[in-house]
Amino acid sequence: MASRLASWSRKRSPWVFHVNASSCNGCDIELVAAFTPRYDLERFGVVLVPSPRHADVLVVTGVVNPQTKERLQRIYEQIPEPKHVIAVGACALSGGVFQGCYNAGQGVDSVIPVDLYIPGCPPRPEAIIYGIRKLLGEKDETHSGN
Amino acid sequence: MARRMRHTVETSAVDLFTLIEKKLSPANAKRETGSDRLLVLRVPQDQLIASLKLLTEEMGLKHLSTITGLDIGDSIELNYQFWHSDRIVDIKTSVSKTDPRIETCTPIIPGAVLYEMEVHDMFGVTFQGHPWMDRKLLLPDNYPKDLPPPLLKGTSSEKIRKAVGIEK
Amino acid sequence: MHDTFDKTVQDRKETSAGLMQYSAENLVPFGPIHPALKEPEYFKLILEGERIVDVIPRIGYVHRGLEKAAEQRPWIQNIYMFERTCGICSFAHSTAYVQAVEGLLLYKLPERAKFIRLVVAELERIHSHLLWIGLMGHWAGFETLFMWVWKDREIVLDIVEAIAGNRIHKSLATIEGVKRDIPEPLIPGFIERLKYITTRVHYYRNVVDTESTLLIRTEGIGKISADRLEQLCAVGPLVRAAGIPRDVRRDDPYAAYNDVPMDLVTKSGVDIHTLMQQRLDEVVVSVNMIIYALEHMPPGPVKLRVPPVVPKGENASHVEAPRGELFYFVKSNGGRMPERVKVRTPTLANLPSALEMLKGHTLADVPVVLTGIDPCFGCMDRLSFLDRDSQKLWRWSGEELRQYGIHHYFPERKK
Repeated sequence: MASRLASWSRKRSPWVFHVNASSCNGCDIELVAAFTPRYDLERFGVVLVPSPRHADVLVVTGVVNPQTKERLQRIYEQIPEPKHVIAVGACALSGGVFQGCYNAGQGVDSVIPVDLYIPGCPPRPEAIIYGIRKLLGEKDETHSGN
Repeated sequence: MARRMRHTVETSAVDLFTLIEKKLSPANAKRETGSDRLLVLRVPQDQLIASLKLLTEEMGLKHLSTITGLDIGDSIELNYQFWHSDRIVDIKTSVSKTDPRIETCTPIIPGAVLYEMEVHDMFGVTFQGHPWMDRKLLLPDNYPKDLPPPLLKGTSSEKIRKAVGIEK
Repeated sequence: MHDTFDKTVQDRKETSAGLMQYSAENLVPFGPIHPALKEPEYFKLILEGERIVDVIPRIGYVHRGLEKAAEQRPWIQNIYMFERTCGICSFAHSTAYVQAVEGLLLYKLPERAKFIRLVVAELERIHSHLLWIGLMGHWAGFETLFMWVWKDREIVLDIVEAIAGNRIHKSLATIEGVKRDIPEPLIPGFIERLKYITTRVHYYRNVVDTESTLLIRTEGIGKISADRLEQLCAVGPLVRAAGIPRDVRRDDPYAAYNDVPMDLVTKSGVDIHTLMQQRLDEVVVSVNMIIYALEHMPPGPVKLRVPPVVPKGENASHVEAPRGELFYFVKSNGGRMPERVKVRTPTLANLPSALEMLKGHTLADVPVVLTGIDPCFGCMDRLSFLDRDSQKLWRWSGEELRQYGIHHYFPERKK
């Protein structure tokens, strides 16, 4: 009973830790913009937390170069279960436009398991909100076939 | 009506370039092809610091935009690129690949401290007297010591990717 | 209280024998460190008591290897790669790159393209400065400022999207022109929105000058002399706030900057408060320039067709990105791909100055001072601290550091 209650409350208010793993900042500023008044991600209960130990959801941007790989893995390990990982942006998906560059990784899922991918370069704040809500399993009335 | 306030440059660009060339002639500076907004002067390796001193202290060109390294075959060319008013001045010198060492210019231009580190990372040039030649600025910590620096033409991106663990 | 992620750090015995005192005679801004100091992957701040005495920089978190990749991609393709060097000043990157290439091609750039480049470059400056003011509010503990400014910033992004089709990576610059024209019917709407932005900026300027939350955290904080900035080859609003009238748009005009009047904004001494005034005033100047350019835009084509091969030669070009001089150097061997492309970002040029500005400050001031030079997001997340006397080494995330600063200045906010 307690764990069902916990999972219900987690669904209603996901606590998100954001990691910039070799990103150009494009995705990061659209993610942060999603929390500002025009888009207001907080009305869905989504909150940015200061430490991975408090988080349910890890949001990662960037290609994950060798210098950030270990840190990303360390942060992932610190997030308590159950946890979800969202990869935001073309770089986090596959390396984006930097595929083949000598210091560019192959995307987040080559380092940690990913549950949701939000494509775009960068994805609009609306796309980020749609993605996070999809992860929460919420039905979106404005879109069909969710 | 366009309002364009210029820095006080007493001489026209062409005269400025001639002045700089003359001022740097004690350092064996040779002019190479540039354009009316880009002055290119080549100096021998042992005259680099002397020429930079003349340029910064006596000609007043203090703003170093960057130091660009180039792989030109059997040597590495260093371009010290200065921005002055609406002109760019490029002081070129070369170090051999077999012994890529040159004196640091940070005592004259403290702002070059990170640019020299970048050239060190990318081309393997050692700037003697620079306090941080044993540290990396941009390259990952696991870049192998026996792998040649990335921007040398002979180093392949695939090899680097395997060596730093991006690909198996 | 100090959360160390790595247990072995506490066991490690590190001596301070190797840490050299920074002395006034040593012009280089940071001293050598003891090789025993591990964890080189973090920006390290060395503390003596309350004060920061030295800063060891370590960047490379965003290093992807673009310069090497550029040598294996066609000239046009590189535009789309280089604009993604940075999401905040993406158009500055693409403009500087194409300008450097155009200097080798020696065609006459269409006049209309020059004006469009100016309009988009200034829009980018406005978005970047507003973004920064919002972040300053966030780091200083003034969340309302952050929310309000970023709400107004959306209007600027609407204009950008109407012109380019994307909010962030505009992909608008191309070799010998711009890819899309500005539709004439949209221009009155743009001008109306820009005038609204000006009224908002005047409001924020007043807030910056009167709001005690901000003043207490920014006045007298992060000082550095104009001479030291010159020595360290700093660029951008940082040097203009110190009184040095250096701006690529004025000194070495590119695009349409020769044809559009510009007021150069300078202040008389750097501290974080003055930097806020400087950037807000620059936004007003940018709005005026955009309106002038939109009203005086010459007719004509916006791009020329050019062959995919660039003649042999070397060229350097720079632009005034929102953070300062952005420098590009290209070398062509006459082929379809560059022989060399070199990028020097303004943040790299300002890094030695930023670290110098940190010295003498307490930990609580670090977030505000570091944000002051307008760095990339990533830098703030990777800070480690060494207390020289106790030899304690710890790491904080950016958010933990921000909270520390806020609780230090506003202890009543501690829960």
